[in-house]
Amino acid sequence: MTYAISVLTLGGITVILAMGLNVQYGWAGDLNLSYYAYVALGAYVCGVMMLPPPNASEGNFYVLGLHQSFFVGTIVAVAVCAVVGLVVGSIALRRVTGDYFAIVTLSVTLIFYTFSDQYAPLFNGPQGIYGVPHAFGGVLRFSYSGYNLFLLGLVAAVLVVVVFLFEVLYRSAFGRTLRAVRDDPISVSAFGISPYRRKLAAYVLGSAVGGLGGVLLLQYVSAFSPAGWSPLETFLLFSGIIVGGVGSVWGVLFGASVVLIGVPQAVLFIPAPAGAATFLPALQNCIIGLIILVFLYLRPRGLFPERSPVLGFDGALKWQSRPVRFVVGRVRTLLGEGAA
Amino acid sequence: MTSSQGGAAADAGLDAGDGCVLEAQQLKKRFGGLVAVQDCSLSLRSHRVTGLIGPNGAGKSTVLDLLSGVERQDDGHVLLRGESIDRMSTHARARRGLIRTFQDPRVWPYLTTLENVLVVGDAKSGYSGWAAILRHRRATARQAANIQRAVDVLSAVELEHMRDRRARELSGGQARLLAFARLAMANPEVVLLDEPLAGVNPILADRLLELIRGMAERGAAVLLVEHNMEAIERVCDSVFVMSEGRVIGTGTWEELRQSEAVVEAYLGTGARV
Amino acid sequence: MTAFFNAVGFGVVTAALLALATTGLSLQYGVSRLPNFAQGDIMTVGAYAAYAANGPFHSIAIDGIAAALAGAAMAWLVYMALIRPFASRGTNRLTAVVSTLAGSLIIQDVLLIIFGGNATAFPTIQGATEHIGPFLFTTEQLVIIGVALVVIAGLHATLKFTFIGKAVRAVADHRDLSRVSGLPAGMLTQLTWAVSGVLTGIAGFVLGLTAGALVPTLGFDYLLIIFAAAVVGGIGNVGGALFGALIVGLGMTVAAVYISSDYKEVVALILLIATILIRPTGLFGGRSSARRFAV
Repeated sequence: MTYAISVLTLGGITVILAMGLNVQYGWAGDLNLSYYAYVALGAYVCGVMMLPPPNASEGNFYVLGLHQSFFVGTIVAVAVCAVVGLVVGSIALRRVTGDYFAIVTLSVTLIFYTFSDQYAPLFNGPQGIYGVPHAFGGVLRFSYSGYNLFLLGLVAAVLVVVVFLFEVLYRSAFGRTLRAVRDDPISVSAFGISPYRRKLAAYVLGSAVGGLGGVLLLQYVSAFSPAGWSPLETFLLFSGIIVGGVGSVWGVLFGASVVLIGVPQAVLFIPAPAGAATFLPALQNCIIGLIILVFLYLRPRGLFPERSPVLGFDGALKWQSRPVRFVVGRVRTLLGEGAA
Repeated sequence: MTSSQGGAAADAGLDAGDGCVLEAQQLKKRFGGLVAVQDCSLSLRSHRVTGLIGPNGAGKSTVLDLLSGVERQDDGHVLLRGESIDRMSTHARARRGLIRTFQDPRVWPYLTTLENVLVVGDAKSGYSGWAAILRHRRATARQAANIQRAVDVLSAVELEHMRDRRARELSGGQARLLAFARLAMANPEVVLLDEPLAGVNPILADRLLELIRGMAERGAAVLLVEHNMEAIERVCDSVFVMSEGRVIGTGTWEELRQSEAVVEAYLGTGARV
Repeated sequence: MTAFFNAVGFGVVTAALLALATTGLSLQYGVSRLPNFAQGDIMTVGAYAAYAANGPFHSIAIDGIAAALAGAAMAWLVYMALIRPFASRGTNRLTAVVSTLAGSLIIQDVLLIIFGGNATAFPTIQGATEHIGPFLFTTEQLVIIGVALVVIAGLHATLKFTFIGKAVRAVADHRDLSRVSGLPAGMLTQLTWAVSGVLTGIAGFVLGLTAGALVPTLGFDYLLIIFAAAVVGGIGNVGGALFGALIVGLGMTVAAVYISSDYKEVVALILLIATILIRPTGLFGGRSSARRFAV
């Protein structure tokens, strides 16, 4: 039971992360390899907001140490991620797109990683931050297992909000324009929309969601250090997007759940050779890499390709399921388009 | 403003007087060692369709790029309603009512036909991501109005039966019509059309020419780059002729037929007059 | 000042290594117009192949040949499995980039499964140190610089003077045109990738020599430094690759002396970002580099 809660909590966080990345890759069409830097940044900032001032005699150093509540820590962490995203995005997106953008963002991640690892006064170097207090620990005095359940509920609530939000955004003018920018930025600009601004908005939105996911991740492990993440982590999230359906909110929800929760669990059933601690994680990454390739070859738009909102009878844009669309299409054909 | 076609000859001059919406002054553009456009001046007036013709490689598309801000000129100026827009980006120019098309229809393939038109409406009414989340009443009303207008615009080009299909499922001709629907939605003051009839069957071409004429009748200044001389003759009030990066003649179609220089540089190369 | 001259000596070695890998990357970019994110891992494969060959043979020369062959095979495989399926489909370029990233992940983790995560000791060349002018070089470093120079000069001559070299350049410049005029563009592209793998494999071998130990992420950690050298020099041309490798290699080692060796990669990354933002055609890049901007 405890194990199931733990898996579901981590899985929920991973799905939230994939959602944020999908805004950048699926909607705006930017191959952003800096995503996980914002996850780490969110975790670190929330951590140093919540922790008491560092105790130098124990060899701990980090900035801030303000001993604030989880609520304040989260808001500050998300805000910091959004602002950093705004600064980095406004520089990178103004000049480059496509593969050069991927190279620049990967470089940014590595620079951040190096500093978080080597420059101890920032986030305590390779030791990282640890012993982060529980969320709302002062108010809700949960037992250990009670807290785990609470955290799962919190993650689920955030996930529901994120899915609802993105669902609305996808159909809104914002999402629509962003998808148009992805399809052809130049013809979008010919109609008076700045592709740069839209891409920047997507980058900032994704960064903020990444930061929020980082905060939850920090609560889950109650510590964060350079050993706990790598720049390649972003790429694992891509597998959820590609399998589920690039751009599709529900597709990514499904794809990320299956690939990023299912594969690591399934791999556990494979007997590992004794004494090879790296075998299972390595095998897991191999399988995820292969899954990405198979989907890119055979089904590049994923299991549930992004859907198009259609016009309902009440004059609003809404979803139409495949069977309904099929029937409506048939009826239209029978009634005769030729009459038009 | 009258739409008498006889008076068009005088309008084609370089004066920035009444009705001149877009003016190019002595544009120059070089790519490396190649001078693509040189000493190119032209003006567009509202309620008029102005043709821009010339042999392949004459620099017509480059002029369109310069006017719309896709490329920056090395020298010269572009004035919109007498105001310099030299330093403006493509989208800033479009926001001021200067819209161009490309040789391909360049529809957004993964958006539905309706969404393709809606995006143009969104561009005019601005951001509404927050409004959509907060279900702001004014924004919702504006969105509904947008959708209504988009549906009307689609029915005007007889595409409503394709409304909810993705644009990539459209045929080539339908994509052209969709491109015109987007233009109608934008309702620009100045339209630059880059070979809108290329690869279009004669029936559809008639329909598109009607739409072009309609845009001018509603008050737009239209620049039509086209190889189809019959189309130019039918819809253009006046015509600029380019050759080797320069404007070598201007006037009505009738006047140009008489001009020896024009006939030699361009019409003599095989085009039927 | 001695520290500086020693750093320059080491920087030249880093530059030699980088020049090999970057030239390989430039060849790939020339014919496929895509950044190959698995380039670093082709190096790693070369290094591990040299390690595997050293067991039975104990010969540095055979190690190098094994690295070159393994690199060639790996690069060809990367092209056939990760690039070609998407290039021919004419899909979004990003799809091919994502597939090379997936390839990188797979290669790293296959190596991890085979060789384990612990560092594997790599043979080194024993020998005295020698002074050349104010610079101090070990025998190993001199061998590395010599090999790099010979290989790149050979490649340059091949591209410039032989029929196949000219054909490859034709494919790189005008793919469709060269196909119409009867060149087997597909085969030449495969050949170019294999040749790029030879250079990259040798670079991996050299990286193993200088690092002294192998881990599966060895090459991936070098990936962006290779990109840095390629972009600074102007991606897609051999002269630029040499120049970029020299700037980045020297920049890194001098920074290691005067700032801290912990941040030497950061210096390369900042060079990379600055070049992309300010002069994306590279310091050496000409007119033809401009089109690489297309998405």
